[in-house]
Amino acid sequence: MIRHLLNRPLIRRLSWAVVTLWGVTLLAFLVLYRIPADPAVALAGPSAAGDPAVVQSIRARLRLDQPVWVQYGDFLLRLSRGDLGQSYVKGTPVREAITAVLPNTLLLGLSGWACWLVLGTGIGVLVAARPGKVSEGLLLAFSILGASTPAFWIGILLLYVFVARLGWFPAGGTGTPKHLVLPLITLAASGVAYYARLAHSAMSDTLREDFIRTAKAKGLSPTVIVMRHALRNALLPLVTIAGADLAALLGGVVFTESVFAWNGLGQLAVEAVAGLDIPVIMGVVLVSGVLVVAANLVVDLIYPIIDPRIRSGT
Amino acid sequence: MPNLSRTRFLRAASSALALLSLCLLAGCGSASNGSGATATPSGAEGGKTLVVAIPDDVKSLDPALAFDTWSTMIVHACTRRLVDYDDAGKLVPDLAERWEVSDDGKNYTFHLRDAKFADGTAIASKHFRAALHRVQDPKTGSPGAGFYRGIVSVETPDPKTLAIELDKPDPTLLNLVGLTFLAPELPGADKGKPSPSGPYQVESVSGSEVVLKRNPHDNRNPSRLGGIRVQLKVNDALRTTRFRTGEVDLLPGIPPADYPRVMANAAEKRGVVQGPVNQTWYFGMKVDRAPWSNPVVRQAALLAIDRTKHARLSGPGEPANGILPPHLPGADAARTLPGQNVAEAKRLLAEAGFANGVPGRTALWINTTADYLRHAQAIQSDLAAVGIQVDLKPVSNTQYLSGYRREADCWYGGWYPDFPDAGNFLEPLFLGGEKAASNATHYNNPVVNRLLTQARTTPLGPERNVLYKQAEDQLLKDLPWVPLYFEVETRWFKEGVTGVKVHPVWRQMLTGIDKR
Repeated sequence: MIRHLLNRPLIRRLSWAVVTLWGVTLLAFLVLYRIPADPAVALAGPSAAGDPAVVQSIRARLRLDQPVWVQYGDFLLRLSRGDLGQSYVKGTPVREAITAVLPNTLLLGLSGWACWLVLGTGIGVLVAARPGKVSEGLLLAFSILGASTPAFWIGILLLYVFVARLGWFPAGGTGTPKHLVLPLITLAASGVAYYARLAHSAMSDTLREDFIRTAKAKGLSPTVIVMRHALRNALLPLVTIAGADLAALLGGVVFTESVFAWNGLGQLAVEAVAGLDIPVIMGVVLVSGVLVVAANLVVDLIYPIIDPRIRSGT
Repeated sequence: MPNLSRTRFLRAASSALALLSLCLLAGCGSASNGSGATATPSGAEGGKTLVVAIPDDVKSLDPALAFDTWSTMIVHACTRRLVDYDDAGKLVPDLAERWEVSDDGKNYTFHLRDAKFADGTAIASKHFRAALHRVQDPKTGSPGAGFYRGIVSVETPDPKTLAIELDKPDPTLLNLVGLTFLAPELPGADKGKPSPSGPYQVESVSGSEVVLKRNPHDNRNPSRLGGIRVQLKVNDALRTTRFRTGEVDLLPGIPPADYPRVMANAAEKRGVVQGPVNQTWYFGMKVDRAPWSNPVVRQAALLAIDRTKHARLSGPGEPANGILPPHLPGADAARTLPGQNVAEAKRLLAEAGFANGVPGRTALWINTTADYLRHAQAIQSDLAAVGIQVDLKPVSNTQYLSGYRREADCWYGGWYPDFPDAGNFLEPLFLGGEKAASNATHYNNPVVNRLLTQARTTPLGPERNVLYKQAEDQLLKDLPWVPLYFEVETRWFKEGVTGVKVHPVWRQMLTGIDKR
């Protein structure tokens, strides 16, 4: 395993990951500085915003009076020391703000991702393994409904039914496993529907392959055929998509966190964008980039485990 | 991976995932935030905890930096200043039990009463001086620095005396020392929180909640509450749900979607209190840009816009009959403005050569909130009815604040003074010349400039009020603004909660509230 991790392709991938992240920060920085708004004016508030001396002192405190390239240089220098700077709005370290909410987002995001893969794939595989008009019709309806219903609408509906009407769950917030249930359903619904459809399609195709016919001819049980022979082949496209879909998942987390006042990275990002809190925006962009790059790296490493032909280069 | 079979790897990975999930769940169970939170103020044994839910975050609890509604609300609850405002908005002594003003109006001497910070330290004049120096220091970047530019020296001859000298007479100094910027500051204390000199102290701050506990040394706190939990960033739907399920005791307003239903329900309406605040919402125009540079077009805009509709759209607001809110000292509460008269607006425009409508279109700047959009659409349709075409330009709030002063030809906005004074309201908006940077309409009338400048150093009282009335008369002739409505705010509270009010100056106020 260790030898596999340290071989050259991995180092090459890690190098590209660093270059990608640097590109992401540069692009984000340049875009933010093209926005025709002044964070110092917003911080001064409606009345003091008209006082040039006050605005200038805020600008100087935040080093916004420096050229863009100097500010970006400052950012990179701080980053090399593991420092993401200080929030313009709150004056507190960005690293603290992110580490305070990151566990919440990881909990929600990873749980959602796990639901997509485990539940979605499970439903799709089950229906493909036992095909029937009713089950396939239900799957089609579920996948269309799930994929076409916006997450925020599902969230509001769940809040109305399970919180306002039935009182089964708390009204948003974070803290206990009970707080997680409704946001998780909201976040997972569309992904589960999508992955169920995808898994069903991949599994159905695999089950029509020659090697499956051979396995059946050898007298293997349907369960062994599906679990040991077909599933691994069907999983490969799903794993590829799951890595790429992490970015979409992070986008979904923003909506879900806003609907349920889930104290996470998405909510932090929304506030930071609203207040043009550039250090926080940069921190969130960087952390999101790291998560997406890391997920894709993990997917690359999982390939050879699922399909030995990739490892052996055949 | 030669020594690890695929089955064993997948088993190990599943176990690791399960362990991670358990760790995360255990972790999230130990730090409860928001709904269902277990955080209770540690000093709350002697009293109940009030739970309040607000829509936004608090930007900063440093008194030198806090200037938005919610940060100020919390800093206010944790501090006392030299003076305060009573429920009618009148200045009253607070930590200063009395003061003297020199004959030339340039020297103020305050005499402090006995009071203590939450840690038992006696509050002394040096603590006010420390706060003032930090606000004045350009390195602090305080949004309040401009208020105190006229203070040339602060002396503390003894712990109970504070002497302030000004470069020129300023009758509003008492208002300035009442702002939360000048809350007394303990040396060496955490600058991220107010030094607790008031009824409460900050116990904890998280991303979703601020917890306050009672200050045992504030013996003038009439409330028996043990503490207050302020839930942050709670959206409209969740605020209403938490309120209805009993999790929250007080909302600082009724979300717009619930307002008509609550006000139509007699039982729910018993938990509602409303009151005016010193805020005017208006339609602003740059008087040096077409078509608004033509006074007839501005006059036609006044007659075209239905101000009662805007008051209705706001909920409890009152149609504006002037620029200054009626309860602001210096305002003429009996003033009236002509109502909507489309025929007269069209006649005026036809006489000015615009019988077929005013040529061209201008952008009406608003921020992207639903409230702004509603009012902007009403303005747009009223103006279109008389032949003035505007396009809506919704931008982020940051862009709006940066842009409306410089770029916008016209905009919808609200304005409230930092303290109850007509000069503090009118000067930043309409004084031309040296302070033109804050004058978004680019209005510059020598008559108004003279009146505002003269009133600035005139002692508080009838003579000063007359000057502001004359200035407002002239402004309403020139119409750089069409005033739309005066803000009336609402609070919604549970049965058993008492002392909730809309304070005309502080607006959102946590002090004085109790819970049975």
